[in-house]
Amino acid sequence: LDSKVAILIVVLGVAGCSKAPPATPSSHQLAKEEEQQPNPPSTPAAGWLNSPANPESSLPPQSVATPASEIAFENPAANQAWNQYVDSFEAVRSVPPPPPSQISDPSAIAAHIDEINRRLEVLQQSRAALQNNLTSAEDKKRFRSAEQSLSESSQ
Amino acid sequence: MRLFSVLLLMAGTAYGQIGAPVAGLTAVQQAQFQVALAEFQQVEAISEGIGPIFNNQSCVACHNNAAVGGASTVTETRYMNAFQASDLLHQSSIVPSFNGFNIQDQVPPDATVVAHRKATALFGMGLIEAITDADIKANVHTPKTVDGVTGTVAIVNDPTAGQNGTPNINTVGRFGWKCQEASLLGFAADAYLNEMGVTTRIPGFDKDIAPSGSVTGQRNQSALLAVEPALTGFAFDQLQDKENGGPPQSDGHTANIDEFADFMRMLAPPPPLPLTAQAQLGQQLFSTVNCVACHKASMTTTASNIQALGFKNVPLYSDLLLHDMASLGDGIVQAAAGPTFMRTAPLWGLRFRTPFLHDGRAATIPAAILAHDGEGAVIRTKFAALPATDQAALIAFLESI
Repeated sequence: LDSKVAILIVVLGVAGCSKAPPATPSSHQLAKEEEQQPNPPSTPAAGWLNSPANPESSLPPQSVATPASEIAFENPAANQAWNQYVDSFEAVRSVPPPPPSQISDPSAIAAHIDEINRRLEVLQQSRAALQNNLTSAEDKKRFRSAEQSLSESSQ
Repeated sequence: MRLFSVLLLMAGTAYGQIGAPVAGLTAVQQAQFQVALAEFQQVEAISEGIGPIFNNQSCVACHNNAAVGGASTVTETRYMNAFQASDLLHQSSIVPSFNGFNIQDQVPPDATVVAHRKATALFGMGLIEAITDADIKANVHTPKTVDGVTGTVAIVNDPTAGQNGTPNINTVGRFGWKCQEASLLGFAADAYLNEMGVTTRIPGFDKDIAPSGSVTGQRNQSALLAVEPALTGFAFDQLQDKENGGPPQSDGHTANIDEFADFMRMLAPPPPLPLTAQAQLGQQLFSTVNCVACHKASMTTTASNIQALGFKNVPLYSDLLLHDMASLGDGIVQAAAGPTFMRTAPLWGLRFRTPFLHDGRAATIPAAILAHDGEGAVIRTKFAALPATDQAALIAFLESI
């Protein structure tokens, strides 16, 4: 019987080829949703080869990492905001981990996550405050580089 | 009754393993998968259409980590010139030169960007294909999140119009590092031509590729067309039209690309590991840090001709959108993606595809996270701020999915 089954499967297997159905949203949907695209391409394009240029895109400026401790902004207020930002970064890092004995305790884990979340919100706020004080293009570049450096130095 | 029992038993084998067919296939579909699996591993020869320029002679040569269909450490080289015309380097040639014509591909001297990309894992791609365009479009954050994440839908042409009923314009790209392909059939045809040099019936992939090397970066198509007739009967892509809309072959399939598409479509998603307590903490942190803004935990499929793929949860950890990743972009313009835009890489099966990121620049998962930039910069910094034990928990989670 097993050999009959195998033959049946082989015969059935070569008899056809299933395809997933097409994903075909209505043209109304497409028109509406395309309007929401932040950077819609000028023309749809396909494939590996010679694609048309996207005029909305450009390469980012080259950045050279600046050690977080050496950063100096043109705007003095940005320097103060940077220090607060670094403090809030360190505050997240200093949240004590849940004890190994409580790693499976849902309430202990929830409390830990809440504390992380609270400090991440402060980090977010201090970052926003810092960005408000980045008044020149050069300062924005400095921040980008220093923030990358800050992230990497945490490892 | 006994026949039914045997079929049921066969249908239940090996689904827990990486590289197995998706659970719930019919016996017919399982047999199709096996045929497609064999074709995916077939080493093609010049007599079967390879060349004139190509990167490898089988699909499995670049898709083999953990199982057939996996990623690999193989990288391809792409380049772009000042006019943002991008192209792929084909590293091999069936005949380096002929009658004075150079048939060896090379990076043109006027290339302004040269980038490298890893072969992607193909696990679970049938489920991704069965997600609706509308569901992907709904993942765009408008306005952007507090972390600066928005996302862009990749609107591309699908060159498989008439092959599977999909319209050929304004479809949502979802496959490849740049969301450059919308369907698995198109993905297969694209790779078959550009990685192996085999033409197919799909418009745009039905002609051989001429070698590059001119100072303008343009491929010398006229030279290729001029020399190809002279090479007929020599060793130059003798079966150039074998795949071009020919009659069904003896195995019932129209062409190899249908089998490649079948293989990818029916290849199961990578199986997750049970979450340890540490990984469960990491799962919560993954949301807390807001990695989920781009790496969306799951989406769902719509109805499918393959019932096993229909109305399924797809835990892919991606929004299938393009994001401006600034310095993490590869600098290449391709399809709808600008130089700094990259697709959110699905994270399922991450443990099967070291090294990480599009060019394999990151040896570890933390290094890959810290390389995020642009729309991912704030969330990267939030990850970096986490206590070391929490970072380890988040990594443990990523190694489990």
